[in-house]
Amino acid sequence: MVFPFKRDNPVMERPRPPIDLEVPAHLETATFAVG
Amino acid sequence: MEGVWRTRVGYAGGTKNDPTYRSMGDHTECFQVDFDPAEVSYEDLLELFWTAHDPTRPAFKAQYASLVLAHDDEQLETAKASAERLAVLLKRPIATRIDRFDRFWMAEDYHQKYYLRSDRKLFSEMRAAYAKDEDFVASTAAAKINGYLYGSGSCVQLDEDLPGLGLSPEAGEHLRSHCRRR
Repeated sequence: MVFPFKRDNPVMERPRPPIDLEVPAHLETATFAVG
Repeated sequence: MEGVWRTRVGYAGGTKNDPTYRSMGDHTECFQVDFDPAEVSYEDLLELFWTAHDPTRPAFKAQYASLVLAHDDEQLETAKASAERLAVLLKRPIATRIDRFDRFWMAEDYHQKYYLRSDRKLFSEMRAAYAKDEDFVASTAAAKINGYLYGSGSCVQLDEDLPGLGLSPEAGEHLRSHCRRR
């Protein structure tokens, strides 16, 4: 069986960036278009 | 921009169901930001919005309109008041349509984080941190890197952000060199 990605490929085993784990629970949304 | 945690692009403001880039109908190409009101106000976002384009120029088609879609009454009133102040300041009418938000249709994957997707080294590394493309699109780190690649933010700001972006030393230096070349 051939795996598409080697397990020793460091690019394929990256953890989530730290800042992604710090996202505040309460966010508001804004929608715009600038043409 | 500090206080902006997520970004995405898509189609909104029109009536067509399931719009695509090739068949947008009466929708406009929009971007959405999720922001922390404790860090940045809607008013601040509006100021950046006004300076990012010429809001006095009427759109020649809906796809490229200047548009604010308010998510609640407060946003609606804030946007209208802000536009009125700008019109007085510029002594010209504002062509921006200000309306209530109805629905946002996500643009195709290849439009999301466009500048980051265009950088093979950074994209391959960032994309590898997410099992699904939607998680990559929702990533704060991806939004920030995409912004730096576009030309937003200073190199000093990038140095402050780098530890949180989760890049390898090589990819971090790649992004720093991109910033220094501007």
